Amino acid sequence: MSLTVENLKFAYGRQEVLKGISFTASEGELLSVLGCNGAGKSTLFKCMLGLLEGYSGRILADGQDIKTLSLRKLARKTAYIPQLHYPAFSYSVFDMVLMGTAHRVSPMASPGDKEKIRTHNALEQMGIAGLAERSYNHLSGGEQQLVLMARALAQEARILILDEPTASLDFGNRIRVLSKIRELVGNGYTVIQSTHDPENAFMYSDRVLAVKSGRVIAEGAPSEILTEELMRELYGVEVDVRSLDDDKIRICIPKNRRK
Amino acid sequence: MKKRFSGTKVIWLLALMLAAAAVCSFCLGRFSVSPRQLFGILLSRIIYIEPFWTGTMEVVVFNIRLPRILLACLVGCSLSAAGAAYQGVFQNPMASPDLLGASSGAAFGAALAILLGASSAIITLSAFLSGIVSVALVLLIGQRAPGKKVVNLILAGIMVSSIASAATSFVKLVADPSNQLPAITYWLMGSLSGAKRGELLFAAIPMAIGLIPLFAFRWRINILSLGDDEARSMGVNVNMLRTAAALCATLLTAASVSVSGMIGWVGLVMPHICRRLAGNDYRFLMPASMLGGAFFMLLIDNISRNLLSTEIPIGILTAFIGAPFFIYLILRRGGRI
Amino acid sequence: MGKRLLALLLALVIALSVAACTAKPASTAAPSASPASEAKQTPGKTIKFKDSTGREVDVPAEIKRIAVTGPSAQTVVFALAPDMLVGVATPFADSAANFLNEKYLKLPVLGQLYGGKGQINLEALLAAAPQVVIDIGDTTGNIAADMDSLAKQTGIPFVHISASIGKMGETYKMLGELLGLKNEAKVLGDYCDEIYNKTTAIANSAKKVSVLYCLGDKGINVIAQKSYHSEAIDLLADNKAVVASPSSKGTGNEVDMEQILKWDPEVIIFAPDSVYKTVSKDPSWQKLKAISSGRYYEVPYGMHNWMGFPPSVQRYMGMLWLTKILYPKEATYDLYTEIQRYYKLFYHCDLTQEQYKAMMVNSLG
Repeated sequence: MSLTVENLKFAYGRQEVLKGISFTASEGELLSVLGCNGAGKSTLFKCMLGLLEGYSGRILADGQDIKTLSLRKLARKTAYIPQLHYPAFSYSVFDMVLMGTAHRVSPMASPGDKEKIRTHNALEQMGIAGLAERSYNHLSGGEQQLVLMARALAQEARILILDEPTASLDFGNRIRVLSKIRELVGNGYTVIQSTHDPENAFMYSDRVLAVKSGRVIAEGAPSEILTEELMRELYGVEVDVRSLDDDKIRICIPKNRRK
Repeated sequence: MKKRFSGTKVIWLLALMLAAAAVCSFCLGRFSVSPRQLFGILLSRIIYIEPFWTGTMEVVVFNIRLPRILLACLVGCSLSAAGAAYQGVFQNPMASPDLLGASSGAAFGAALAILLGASSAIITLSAFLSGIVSVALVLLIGQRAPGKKVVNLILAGIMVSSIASAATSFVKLVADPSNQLPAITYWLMGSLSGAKRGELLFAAIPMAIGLIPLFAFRWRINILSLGDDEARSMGVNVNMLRTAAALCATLLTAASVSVSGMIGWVGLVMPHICRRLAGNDYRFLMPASMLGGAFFMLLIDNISRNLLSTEIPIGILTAFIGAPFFIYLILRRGGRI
Repeated sequence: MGKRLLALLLALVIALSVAACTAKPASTAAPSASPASEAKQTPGKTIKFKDSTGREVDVPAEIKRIAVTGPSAQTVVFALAPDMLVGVATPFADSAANFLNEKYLKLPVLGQLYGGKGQINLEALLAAAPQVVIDIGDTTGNIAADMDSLAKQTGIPFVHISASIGKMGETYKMLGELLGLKNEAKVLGDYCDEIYNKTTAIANSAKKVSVLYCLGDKGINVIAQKSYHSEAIDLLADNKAVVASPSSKGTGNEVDMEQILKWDPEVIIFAPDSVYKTVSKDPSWQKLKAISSGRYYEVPYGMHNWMGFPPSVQRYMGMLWLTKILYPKEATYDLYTEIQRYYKLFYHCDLTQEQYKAMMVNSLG
């Protein structure tokens, strides 16, 4: 399943936030969206998820315009993995993942055995079946992120949209979550993530989209994108980009550092 | 927060406690009826028994205690269910049934009707309708305002509530102090005294209309409590669900307030007690709140009608018990709710 | 956590049963509750009684036990048939202990009724076993329906009798018919009419004296003309307090000192606990002619405020007193004798000269 965005424009009142964005994320691809705060990443994601209306341009999920899809049908195609936050009420991990099956359950009913089996499978797939009875709010950030991903799997959508999945994670959890994401991409999921971390984007993603002030300023393979010029343009900082291990890794070293 | 019992067990336990409390309530009262006589009176409705009790006893049991017990259960169940629903759909643990102005609106309607010298049936009707109208107004404002829906609705609720409260104060100012003013004041304190079958029927219909859908889509309230964007991305029609839940909860609140006056705290406190017992999953929380609310109200009403020779307004009792609990919640809240 | 809350709930249940247990003996100990309720079972003769709402109510031909719905009814009924009361709506004032027979002070408090609801505990009412419940006051539109539904629910007849300051004679006449105390009721009714006619005649024959009734902790709240509480003043004097929207509240309308200076009445009366004691030393109050000439008084308080909180029959004492201080030349009656007569008739006690003097210490100038 692929996701295509065509000439997407969006404005909050007079303030234009997206000024014509186009790209395609193909099946089995991890697309990272880079950009500083306020570049329009969140708005772009909200449009892709059908949460914002009144945009111009087209968004196609699996070839179908998402405007023509009902909420429930759209939920079968795209799943959202939000930034970590504490819900007002804490649910068990199992209950949290079970909620992903909402689009299968009629509004007046509660989920049945089939949904519970799906939930169980999703937990197994993410390797967190042991957490099922734990309280979501009491998990570590990394575990919470895995739970949200399990929920997306239970939702059976093939396009996963992750909003800064590693932003608030410690070093170990960041690597754990990113390798899980990689695993999902390997299983044929289409994954779009926003990130603030160019180095991780380089290491894990198949393609990178650089967004600035509502426009795509660069798009392509990580090696084409992660350059000193682009870092300067995107973030307004001077860095040396060094290549390691036969250009499998690139690191950005700030110029004004300890000598 | 980790629950200690399974949800189903909690529900059974609460149902048992409610049944026991109902039986106890039948035996309690300022007019003494022995358990044997009570049993005889109740059984005599099914099979013929030579009366070994007085006619007054029958009046007490059927005209005074029975409607009152039923009304206490209905009101408690409704307020508690409404509170639980509001907390979920507004993602706010401190939400209570008066969040959208249903109670303040109903209070104004009742005060106005008392001022105009209406009969008690009209007072009830007026309270009910103005409660509904207040919430309709809030929903209308919330729909039109740009930005975050939840915040808009809560703010609109606060505004409409305060307008209704101001209007109620004005009615109290111009009311005749010898009979209307105390009637309004007494009404605002909340009481189940004078529960009659007519009132019971009047309240039961909107309550059923409110309770059944809330019970049916209770699982979806879980999803809504995560936040609008997340819920929508999971295929849940957030606006429709929230409006439906708010309407049901409003029917429940307005119906309760119109027959019993302002009874605060039940709708806030009972859902929280049930959260501790049954967990936050609305599949169990909603029925637990309904049963727990009925049980709690029955308990409080027994105190209200038995402690002193005159009735103690029930709103005062619920506040005395509810407010300390609220403080306890604030003190212990940190990430536990 | 859950277990502790469960324990809390259980504790509540226990607290409740304790409360219930302590409550039980009280209701069984209610004076002669059971025999009376048994007696009620023997079907007695009933008669039709047409009350002020026009309802035809079946009431026992011979009434011995009655209850009232509020303080106004209590004051009116207490005067006529104190021994029939099975309970009172509100407890008597503390000062009543000096006057009333002890047996009346011990009557159980049944609570007040407001419309269809109220403090009245219906079960306690049934336990007290009155044969009829009496409501006295303004006849408003909703009363008939409320009386009917209460009667239906409890099986006890509820009757409403209307009352207003000029028509107490009729009120007592009806009450006397209901309770089979026609002669006694006539005495009371005649008394009310007599006082009403006597005092208004005196006031009408003289030039109306201008008056302000001031209350509150600063004394700048006034009972305005045409308000609910000004009835007696408006009848007997020229109430200077004319405001755009007279408040019907017991606290009156708040005005400022300037306004009071502008009204500058001949006589000022102060509510009990207002500023009567301090005005003579206050420079701004001293400018008023009522204060400088010494024509200011405190409303007497004996069992109730004589000017009417709650507005009931004690206002006849207020009318007697007000006429006496406003028209001393025309009002030739002896106030002590009149008040003593009122106490005998309405409170069933002898008011001694000492008690009278103590009560009137600030009220006669």
